[in-house]
Amino acid sequence: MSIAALAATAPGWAELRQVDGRQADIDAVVTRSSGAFTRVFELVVIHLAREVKVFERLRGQTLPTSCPDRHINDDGSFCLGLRAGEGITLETAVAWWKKLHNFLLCQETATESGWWPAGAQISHGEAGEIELRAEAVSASLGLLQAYREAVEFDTGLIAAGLSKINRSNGLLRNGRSVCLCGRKDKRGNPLLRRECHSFGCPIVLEFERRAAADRFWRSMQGRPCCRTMRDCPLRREH
Amino acid sequence: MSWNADRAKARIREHMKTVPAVDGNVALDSAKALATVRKSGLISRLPVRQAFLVEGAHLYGQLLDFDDLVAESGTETEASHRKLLRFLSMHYRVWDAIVDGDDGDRVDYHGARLHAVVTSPVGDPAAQIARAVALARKLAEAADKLGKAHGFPSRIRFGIDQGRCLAMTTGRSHEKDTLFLGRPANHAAKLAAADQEEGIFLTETAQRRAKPGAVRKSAGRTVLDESYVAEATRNFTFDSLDRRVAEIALDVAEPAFHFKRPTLPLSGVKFADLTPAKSVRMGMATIFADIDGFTRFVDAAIEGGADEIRKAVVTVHVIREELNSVLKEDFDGKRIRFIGDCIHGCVAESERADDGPKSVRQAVICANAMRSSFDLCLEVVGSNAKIDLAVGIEYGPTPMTRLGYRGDDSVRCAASRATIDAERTQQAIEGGGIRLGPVALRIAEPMVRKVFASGPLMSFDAATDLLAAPQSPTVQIVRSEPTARSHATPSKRG
Repeated sequence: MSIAALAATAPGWAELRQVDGRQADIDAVVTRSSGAFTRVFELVVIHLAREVKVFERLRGQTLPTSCPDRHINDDGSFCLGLRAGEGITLETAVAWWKKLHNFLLCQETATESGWWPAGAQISHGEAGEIELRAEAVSASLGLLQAYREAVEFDTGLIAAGLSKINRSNGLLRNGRSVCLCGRKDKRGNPLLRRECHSFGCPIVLEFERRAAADRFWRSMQGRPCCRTMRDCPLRREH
Repeated sequence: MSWNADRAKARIREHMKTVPAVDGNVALDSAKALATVRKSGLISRLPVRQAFLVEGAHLYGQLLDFDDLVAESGTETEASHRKLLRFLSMHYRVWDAIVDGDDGDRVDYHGARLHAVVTSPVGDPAAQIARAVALARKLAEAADKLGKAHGFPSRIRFGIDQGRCLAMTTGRSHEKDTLFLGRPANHAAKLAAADQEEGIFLTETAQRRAKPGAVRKSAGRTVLDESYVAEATRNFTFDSLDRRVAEIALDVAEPAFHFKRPTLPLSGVKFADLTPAKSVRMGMATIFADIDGFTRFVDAAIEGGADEIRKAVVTVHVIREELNSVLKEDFDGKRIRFIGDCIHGCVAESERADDGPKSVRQAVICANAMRSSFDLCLEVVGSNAKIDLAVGIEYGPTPMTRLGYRGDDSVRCAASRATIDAERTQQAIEGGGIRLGPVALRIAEPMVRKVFASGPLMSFDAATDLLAAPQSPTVQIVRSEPTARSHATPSKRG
């Protein structure tokens, strides 16, 4: 069903070479900002259990066989987005193709530069879920840009607030002080830190995200590094 | 507007059609070439769309006090820029006197730097060097005299080399430039810029080719012998220069510089419309894009003969024309000058007030687009030259005007701290790459700082993706499908 939905909605840049109920071979070439084409990516999409996964047909042909910072999992499958391969139907298949499109564009940029475009990724593992929650909260407070700045560059209001976190409980110290994120109640009065905690303070969430990201990288210790990314913790380790 | 691969390829094919012809004998001793070169003292009057091999002494003069005049008490103001331009105007008037002579010396200037090419006496390198030394001494004395009369400092450091360079002129009307490519021009320029000590200095090559006894050792250093300089100034007089200096010393009237903010895009600014009274000034990013390794490439071509020279002419012509097209057509920037194999240009982005971060970002994307075009040029030309592109960027308030008294031939000028630092930043790059000057680095957006502060140039495509430029397809996809953000799942192994 999922493969059929993908086949039915395939965009012009993807040529489906062989399709059966559980698997499809795809050759993909996408267009970059300048109108230039990317390399040809020879891919296979496989329906496994409750999700579809996409791999290079010949692992390692144009991309690393696995690399967290290139969003390629241990098994060589691409991580196109949070739960991107689950529940693919005719309605959701278009979004899946967009995710693959973006993934391939970013791979080309990463191959060339050693960086993944910041706005086109979320943190690895569980940290990604926390990041999305923190972004939603920050957006409601008008702090989305400050939150992105904290994630990408470790600067700005939210990053500065991290030094006020009590590391033993992960909450802001001095709970009876006005919260550093500036959240206000309905009447416009500033919220205290201990009150803000219950709504999901972006500073606290960012602390949680960083802790989860650290756990992810600790779980990756000792893995081989493809040495293609400039700021990868695995590369620093080797 | 933005960079586009197909448009760039089409442009490059057009640039191929305007490659300057190389003289059949390519050497200066061909009677036609010699007659042309000697016809006028102004470098830019060399025939357009023709390339020559010119043998002569190259004299570079660097105004050492230029840096100190850029700002007053550390701040660049309209007043400090007026003073700076008056200072340059005074020196340019002196240097213009060389043009008026009929002796085959040729001169060009950009910013704080004079470049003169001495081609006579023909076929006598030692005498050409002596003539260049005499000219340098005359210019130093003239600058000293006028500096005192007009209240300006006047220290100049001169560098001299001798040999054969490839000369070519392209451009039209007010925007014409002549290049001298090859070791003599390059080494003389480097020697002039190498230190803050005023005086006249010869490269090792020039020392070997000068008359015996021209240099002597003094406290472990090689210096010009004063009796050699005295003899040179006796043998080579520059009467028109003397006359001009006397006139300027008596003429207290100085050009009045008035600035207005240009209407963007900067590409719409025409030097033909600029005069001291109609100068423009605003905060802009200055770009110096230089072809690394080009001097070596040209020297090898000169040694290699006519065919190799033709190939070098094609390569440099196509690259510099295309870099200019990228700057002007794709990024609405303004070329100030070609300086040798380097292009000096400016880019500005603003609504009403100056917008430093946006201008720097635009300059960075432009630099990476230049890199993409540079690669396409080598591909289309079929060159395997070991050359690379090095781009320095700095930001700051910068005036633009024309200086001198030569009407259509007056000098295009953009002079500021940003201009000085962009060039120095570019010169500090080893091989190819990009580097931001201190101000640009301080004001740049965090992503620009993180990825482009100093390092390799990328393609336009990678740069637009990383800087989330509106033309980036990744930006457009994430906007239409916010969940299209890659992730990685935790490892299932151990």
